Order: sequence, then C-alpha cells, then structure tokens
Amino acid sequence: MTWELLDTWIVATAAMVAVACVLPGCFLYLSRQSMMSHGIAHAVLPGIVIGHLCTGQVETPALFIGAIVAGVICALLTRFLQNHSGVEEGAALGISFTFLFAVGLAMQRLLADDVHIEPSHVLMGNLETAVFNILFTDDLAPEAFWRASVASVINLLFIVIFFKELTFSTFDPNHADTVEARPRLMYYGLMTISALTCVVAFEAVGSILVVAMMILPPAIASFFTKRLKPLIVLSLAFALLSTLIGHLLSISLFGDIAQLLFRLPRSTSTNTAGGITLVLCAFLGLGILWKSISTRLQNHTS
Amino acid sequence: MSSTALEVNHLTVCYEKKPAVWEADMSVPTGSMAGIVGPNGAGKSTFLKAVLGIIPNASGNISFFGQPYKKVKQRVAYVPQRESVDWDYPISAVEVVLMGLYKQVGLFRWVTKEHRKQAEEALDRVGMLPFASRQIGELSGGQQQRVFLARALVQQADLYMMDEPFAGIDATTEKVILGLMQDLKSEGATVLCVHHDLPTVADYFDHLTMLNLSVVASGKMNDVFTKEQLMKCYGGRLELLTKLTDSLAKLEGLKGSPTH
Amino acid sequence: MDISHLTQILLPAHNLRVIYLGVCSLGIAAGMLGCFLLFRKRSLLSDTVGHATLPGVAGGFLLSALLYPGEGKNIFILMLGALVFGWLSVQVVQWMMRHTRLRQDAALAVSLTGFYALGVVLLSVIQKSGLPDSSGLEYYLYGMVASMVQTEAWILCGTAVAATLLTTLLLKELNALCFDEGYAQTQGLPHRWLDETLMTLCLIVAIVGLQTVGLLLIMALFIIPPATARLWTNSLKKTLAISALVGALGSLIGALVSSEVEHMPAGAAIILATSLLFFLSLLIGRRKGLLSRHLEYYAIERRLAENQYLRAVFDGLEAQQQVRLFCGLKFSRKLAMTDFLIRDTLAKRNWTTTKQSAITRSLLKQGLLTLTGTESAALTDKGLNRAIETAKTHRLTEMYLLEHAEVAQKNVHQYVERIEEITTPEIANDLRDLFEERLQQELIPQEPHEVK
Repeated sequence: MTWELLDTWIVATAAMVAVACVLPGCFLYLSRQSMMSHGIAHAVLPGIVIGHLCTGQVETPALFIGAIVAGVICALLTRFLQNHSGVEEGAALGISFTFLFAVGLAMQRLLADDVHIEPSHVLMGNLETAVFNILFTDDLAPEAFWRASVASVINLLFIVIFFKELTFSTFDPNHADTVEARPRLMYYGLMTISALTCVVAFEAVGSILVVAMMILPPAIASFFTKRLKPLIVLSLAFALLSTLIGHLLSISLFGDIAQLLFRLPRSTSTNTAGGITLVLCAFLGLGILWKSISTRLQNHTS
Repeated sequence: MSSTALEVNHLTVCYEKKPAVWEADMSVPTGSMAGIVGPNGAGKSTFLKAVLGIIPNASGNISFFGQPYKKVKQRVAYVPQRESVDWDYPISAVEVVLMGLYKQVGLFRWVTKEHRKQAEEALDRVGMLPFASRQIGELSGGQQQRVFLARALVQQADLYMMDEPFAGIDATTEKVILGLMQDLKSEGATVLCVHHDLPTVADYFDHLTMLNLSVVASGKMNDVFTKEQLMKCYGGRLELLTKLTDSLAKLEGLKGSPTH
Repeated sequence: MDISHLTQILLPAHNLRVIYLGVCSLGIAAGMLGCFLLFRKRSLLSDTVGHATLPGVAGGFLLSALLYPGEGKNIFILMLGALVFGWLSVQVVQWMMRHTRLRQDAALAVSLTGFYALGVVLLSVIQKSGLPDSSGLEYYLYGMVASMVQTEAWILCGTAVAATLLTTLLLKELNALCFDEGYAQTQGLPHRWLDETLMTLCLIVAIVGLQTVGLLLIMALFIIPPATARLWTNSLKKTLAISALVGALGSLIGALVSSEVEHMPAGAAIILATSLLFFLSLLIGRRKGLLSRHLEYYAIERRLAENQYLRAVFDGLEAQQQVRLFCGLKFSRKLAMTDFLIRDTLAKRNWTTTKQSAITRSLLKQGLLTLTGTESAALTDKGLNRAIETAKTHRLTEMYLLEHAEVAQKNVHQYVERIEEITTPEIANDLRDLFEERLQQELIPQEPHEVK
C-alpha cells in the first residue's frame, strides 16, 4: 500500500460528501423516512438529464435545479399517491421513484448517451476519477471537493437555522403545526437539501450508497446516545472515521485479497465508496453489540 | 375578552371510510372546565383535531375567542394523545417543553437561558423537574403526560385543549393534572378535555359536551349530565345517523378530497 | 416502418416468441406475488432484495471465473449467488426489526446499502481484473431482453407457472396471513412457514427476472401491478388476476419497445410501460380512479337534481290542491294529471335555464313526465310514485334529524337540500321502520320545517 496525494484528496472529498449526507440524513432517519432518501436518490436522475439537455453542459446550475425539482416531485408524487390511490406509503414511494428513475434512465440512454453522466458512475460512484483531475491542474482542490463542501455548508446552514423547527416537526408534527413551526415547509425543505446532496454525492459515491451515507451514521449513533445534538455529532464522527478506514481498507486489505485471488499483476484497490459503506455496516454491528451488552449489564446490576 | 373561548358551528369531518364528526355545534364559555365525552369511535379526538386544523378538509365555522384560529394560535395550547408521538426520538423532557415556547423564541433565534428557565418552571409545576434531562421514552406513561402538560403550560395560553389526558396514567399524575386544572381555572384560563371515564366526569368538569358523531348535548354539567342524554349518546338510537353520515362521507370522497 | 417490419414485430420468429413468452410469465408471476407483498405492507422489501442481489451476481461471476477459468460466466452460479444474497438481505431486515431498535424503514435502508456496497466492491475488483465477458454484467443492472437465451426464457416460464400454481393452491392461507397474521397464527396456520414460502417465491421470481429487468428496477414489477389492480377492484381474486394481467402487459410492451428502440434499457422500458398502465388506471380505474369518481359524483348530482325537481312538483301540487294525502292512491290519478308550469315550480331552486331544461329532458326520457304545453308538464303515474317516495324519504329524514339526532333547525335547513343524495334505499327503509306509527296515520308526513 502506498499513500499518495490522490488518496488524500479521495479521503477529503469523501469526508465532505459524508458531512453533506449525514446532516439531512439524521432528520430523515429520525422521521422514519429512511427509504425516502433512496427514492430521492433515484428520482433526481430525470432532473439531471433534463438540466443537462437544456444547457448542454455537465457543470451547470441547471443540473442542480433540475435535480431538486425532480426530488421534490418525487416527495409530492408519493404523498399524492398515498392520498389518492389507496396504497401504503412504502408502495407509493416505490411507484413514484421507480417511475421517475425509469424516465431518467430512458432519457439518458436515448438522448444524452454521449455525455459523461455515465450510468455506472451514477450507480457506483468513483471517487478516484472524481478527484483525478487534481494531478493535472493547478487547482487548489478537486472540483468534487468544492462541490461537496458547498453542499455541506448549505446543509449545515439549513440545519443550524431551522434546528428548532426541524426537531419539532420530526418529533411531533401535529403540535409543531399548532405552535406555527411550519412542519410541511420543513419537510419539503428537507427533501430539497436531500436532493441537492444526492446530486453532489453522485459522482463520488453513486446514487445508492448516498443512502448509506445518509442513514447508516445516525442509525449507528442511535445505539450510543439518546440526545439529538450528540446524535448528530456522533453521526458525523462515525461517517468521517469510516471514510478514512474505508479508503485505507480499499487500497490495502480488500485490494490485496483481490490481488491474491486473481493474481492481478499490480497493486490494486477497490471501490472506496463501497469500502466506506462496509465499514459503516461494521460500526452498526458494533453498535448493536454494544447495546445488547450494556442492556444485559444493566439488567445484571439492577 | 370574549365570553366564549371556543365556538364550533356545523363542524363536519369526513373520512372516506368512516365519517367522524357530523354537523357538530357547541361552545365553551371562557373560564370553564369543559369535558367532551362519548362512546368509543364517536369522533372525540377527531373533533379536537379538526377544531385545531390538524385534520384538513373539515368544514364548518370555528372561532376561538371570537376570532379565527389562525389569529389566536398562541392563545391555544394542545396536549395530544400520548400514542401519537415517537418515544424513541432522541429528545429530553425539557426540550419537549421548550417546543411550547416556539413562538416566543421565534424563527432564526436560539433558545436562551430565560426560555430554559421558563421550561424548567413549567416542569416544576407538574413535578417533573428532577426528570428534566431524561430522554422522553425513559419516562413512565404518567410522567410523559405531565411533560406534555408542561409543554402546554409554558405557552401560557388562555385555552388548553387536551386529548384524553387521564388515559392510562398513575394516581400521582391524575392528582397533578387535576390540581393544575384547578389552578388554570383560578387564573381564568379555559380547559377543554376529551375524557373517557364517565364516573369521574361530574367531579372534574363544570361544562360538558356529549359527542356521538354529532353533538348530542352541550351545556352546563347539571343540565347535560342526565340519564336521558346519556341514553341518547350511548344508546343505539344514533345508528341511523351513522348510516346517513356514512353515505355523506362516501359522497365527499367522490368529490376528490384525499383519503386519510 | 414498412409492412414487413410490422409483421416481424407482430409475428416474431420462434426464438423471439419464446422470449416474449418468458417476459410475460415474469410479469404474471411478479404481479401475483407482489399483491401479497402489498397486502403485507412490505412492498419496499422487494427493493432491498433487488439491490442486495448485486454481491451475489458479482460474487458468482468471480467464483465462476475462479472455478472454471476461461469459460466465461456461468449463469447458474450467478443466479445461485443472487439467491443467497437476496435471501440473506431479507433475513437481515427481519432480524434487525425484531432484535434492534431500528424501524422497518431504517432496517430496509441498512440492509439494502450494506449488501449493495459489497457488490460495488466486488464489481470494482471485476473491472480491475480484466476478466473476459465482464461487460455482460451491466445487463444485470439495467436489464436486457435481447440477451436472453432460450434456456433463460424457459426458466422464466417454468418459474412463473410454478409460482402461479403455488399461489393458487395457497390462496386461502396466504389471504389469512396477509389479512390478519395474529389470527392466522391462532388458527394453527404455519404462518412462519407460509411467510418464508412467500418470500422465497418472490425471491426466485425476482432473481430469474434479474437479467430481463435489471436489479435496479425489478422491484417495480412487484409494486406497480398490484397497486394498479387495487384501483380497479376490491376482491382478492380479481386483484390477483388484474395484477397479473398488468404485469404481463407492461412487460410485453416494454420488451417490444426496448427491442425496437436502440439503446433503450429493457428495465426502464418495462417499468415505463407498467407505470403508464398505472397512471391510466389512476385516472379511469373503477374503484378509486379519479375520473370514475367524478363520473359517479356527477351521476349522483344528476339524480339529486331529478329528485329535487320531482319533489318541487310534488310540493307544488300538494299546496295547490290543499289536500293532505291520507290515502294517496285515490288521489294519485288526479294528481298525476294535473299539469304545472315548469318555471314556477322550479322558481325556488335558482337553477340555470340550461339545467332546468336538461333535467326536464332527462325526466321526459325516463317517462316520468309528459309535456302538456310549451311550458307546462304533468307527472306520469311512474313519475308520481317516485315523487311521493322522494318527498316521503326527504321528510322522514328531516324528522329524524330534528327529533332524534338533535340537529338544530337551522342546520337541517342547510343540509336539507342534500338529503336526497345521502339517503340510500337502506336508510329509507330504516326511516320507515322508525316512524312506522306515524306513517299509519298519514301516508306522507307534513314538511317538518318551514322551507325558506
């Protein structure tokens, strides 16, 4: 294993993406909307493709606007179907996001196949290629890093400014409404920043592991604390820690195993986003273990 | 101050599957301890939620202190039924109480020491100060109810609307809630409680509304709490009304109002 | 598109026919099994399963490369791998929901991403390894109909037939399980075993269909057809049948489109076709469709207007004759023959002239009215009977509301105009029973309140 400049940037970018994801993720997890993140991550695809088709560029605000609109449409459509077609929330979400994703996929393949919104990157993400440019330019940091940082700052601002409102709305929306904390607005605000985050996280971790970055850290943290602020801080800590460990494992252990098994010629590495998620899963396992041990100890002493 | 704290006219709430409240008329005089009773599934909770606008698509005129709800939200405090929230949520008792102060804190502002002190005072009033920093799920049913009560108290409202505050609680909590209600009354506030326990109704309240889909009777306790009215409310004679409202609800559903 | 091309599509070559048959069976099987997932509120579990098969597919590919180097991918090992990981993901979700504080949504998300991540890592190994034939793996993500070989199509058919048969045989039991699990348990139903069977069946169908639809969208085949069926019917058997039909139709259309349009991923095409059927049903579906709801509403409004019309005629005649109808039959012929001025009768209604003439026409068509002049008409016998019934029910309802339901006079007035539409025949019967005594005294009671 060798640690190069590229590795530093990979970890830095992944860390920024993790921060951006965890912030809305905590509230999605707490309001039992974990699968909504999965839905939005899929649903933003048509928005991205349309944004791209309209402007012909990949790096454009239109892309983000399209994605956000598509994400919010997914949330609205889910609610509409829930109210008007008589299916439960899960199925309503399933219908709306698969439909939007299929639309996006078809459009992308038929109309925008030439661009480098490459499907496998959308689905898997590739941190290596996302930060690769830094080696050949004089930029201070890779584009992906900047984008993730901006998203983190936006998300952080949103959550700091509306902390009370978000807490109240996710804990007891009915009461939040009676004290005028605007739970509906907060819900769609949360959907908006989730959609924004999904787009930013796409190229780095892919549309599906965004969900891991959003939901796993708060799920892990919920085994260790019963307070909201510590939960958010702990989630961030776990996410950051796992980006480092995940990347280290990807370029050492996982790569070595692969090398050994398939007699690959040179030192190799595996997908970092996947590695990070696996580390998060391991943390979750630890959390479950810790919880069961501590309850058992408590029962023992009392 | 207006002499009626709450006035409800023609309140109708339709679910697609089941009508809940139909053409309800009632009013609560300011400063009274008002109870709402009725058999199971008579729409008591729905009535309260519809009055507060938590359930949309309710039709009818509702006024608080002679004004529409939107203008006097701050003067009305709501204590929901205990089952309606997520007890796993990582939030402490005092933080729950702080929710009641939302309007006072305001958008873009932080909770100050002053607010925290107010919240703690409210917790003290319900005897929950020692548990202020406990996570809400770690408290017993009665203690949770008292925290919710404290959340309503900090609002320093003129009207307190409570959904079954006496359901499934311990004797201490019952005593605390009753004491509080007396205090509130002496302070000139109005209390409206959904209640399920008939034997205690006459002791707790001075104003009563009997609800079974529609308002069967509403008025001073002595006038309303009679055998005849109870028969009417709890007897089976309103079955036909259920059918009528059923078909009305179906119709409302056809018009395209969302289902719940 | 020329004729020969069209015939090519409609009458495909044998191998294509087999493929379409396979795709159809996939839709049928998924549609039927999906119904039970929907009833059990577990639709999104199929999403988790679909995504969780990725490590199975990738791992199976690597394994077959290790075991049989140089022979390319072995489809059975791939499928077996997918089956194992799909099954594992279900177990993980259920274990987490039972034994940890995680709720269903979080458990689903965790299991989904965990397994998917493993798959992503394995895929990156495959990419780096440069193993031959690895490009075909993409089909497992997006689906590809054209790549289907005959054996696969036959496997699809076989699985679909087996799944359909099993579902039919276990219909009663599955129904009990979905409706009330606790009760099913007390009835000695092997609910655990049934649950496992259902999940395994879903799993097998999902995995067999993986290559056709792709693991990203396979779950939609389990969710959308049942949801579509729910818009049409309320009965279990019909739900199953419609769901199977929608699944088959959607899959077939999608497969056709994707084989015709270059670059069109089969998964996306199939899901788009199925979604189209869903949204169409949402509009026109008989049970909950938006359009049919409106149509039904207008039908009721029309009937209400007719009844109001007839009642207005009746009220007018009653006032004119100054007769109380003690024994209605005796007077009926006379009443029926009395003609009335349409405009005057409907003066209280505030209807537009268009509405007036529309309702008049509709009553004439039904033979309830006859025209006696340009602006006057008379009730026929049939019309009189319906007018009497309407007026009677109307007044009885009013009496009930006033006397029994304690609805205040002013409210009755507000609701009085809608009474016709909410009194069903059943309610009318009940009312007649309730006021039986009074009806013996007078055939039609008096208007219980003043109509302003």
